[in-house]
Amino acid sequence: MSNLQNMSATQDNALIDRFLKGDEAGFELLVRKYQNRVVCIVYSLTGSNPHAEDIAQEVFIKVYQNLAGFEKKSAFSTWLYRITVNTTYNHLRAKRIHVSLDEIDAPEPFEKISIDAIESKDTQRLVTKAIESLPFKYRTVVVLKDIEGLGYADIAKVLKCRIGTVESRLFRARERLKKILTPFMEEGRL
Amino acid sequence: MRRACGYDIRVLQRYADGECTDDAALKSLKAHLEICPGCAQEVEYLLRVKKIVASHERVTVSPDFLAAIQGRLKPAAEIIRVRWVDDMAAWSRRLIPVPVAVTVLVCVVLFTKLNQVKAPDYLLGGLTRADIRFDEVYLDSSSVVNRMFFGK
Repeated sequence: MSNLQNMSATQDNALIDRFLKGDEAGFELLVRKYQNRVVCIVYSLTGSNPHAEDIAQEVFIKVYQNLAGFEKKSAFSTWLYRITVNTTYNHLRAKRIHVSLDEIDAPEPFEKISIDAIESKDTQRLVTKAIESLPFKYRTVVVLKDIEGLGYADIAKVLKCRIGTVESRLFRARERLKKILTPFMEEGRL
Repeated sequence: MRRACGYDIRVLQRYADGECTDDAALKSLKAHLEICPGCAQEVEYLLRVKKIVASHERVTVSPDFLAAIQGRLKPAAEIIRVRWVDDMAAWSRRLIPVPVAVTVLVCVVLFTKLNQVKAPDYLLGGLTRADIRFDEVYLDSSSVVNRMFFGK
């Protein structure tokens, strides 16, 4: 863990202690610090769901209700990201939006993506749809790595898996993205 | 997974992700990339995909985000109270075996006491009370039967 991360973790722990002593400002500062990142992760994982903020609010409510049980064995941010990923997954599962945690080899709606993207001619939409087409396991590592900029070790802690697993999921996710994005890259759209 | 040149593709991925921390391996990989166009192209592709994905739209949180959370939350005092009640409930659940054990013990003692029959006179087999030792006044039914029929 770098010095910067250490400092951030110490600050977070101080804010948690403040909150646990009854000072609500501690929680408010934690929300302000992480709200953009949490909303961004939810937004990316849900395929730009307009309810991303509602899900992010649910994440912080869970944090509020369980902060007393946070044992500080890992960084607060790791714990928060884990809650974010799990809450988003539960939301997607409840809404039965395209999510297949176990069906890794599920066929991609490739044609649909291509047609949509060509019709929309919108790079952002294309990227969103390409990410959305990935199974949740792969989508999570791509979002945490390429959008949030987390390291392999941090992602492994968030997902409670081995670094090797993170690497292989990332590799497979990028292989799938390659299939989807290559035609557009060759056409010069991306 | 190895490429035709023998390089593990995951090493290339680690390099593109900035996760290659071993100086010697990094130096060796950089030297390899200069002579292997296939690997160089793969790294270039990985960096390009990373850049495209990183360009994914970032949302800004609405100004009333925190207020919305606070509106959805119960007051802190209520949470603390609920937590206190929960703790008590958890403790009481853990202590359930104690009252159960005490109840069983009391039942056993009562049952033992109540089961001791004070032998009526007609069951004493012609003996006067004076003939019976103090400790034989309270007899259980089987002792009385033995005394009556077998003289024990």
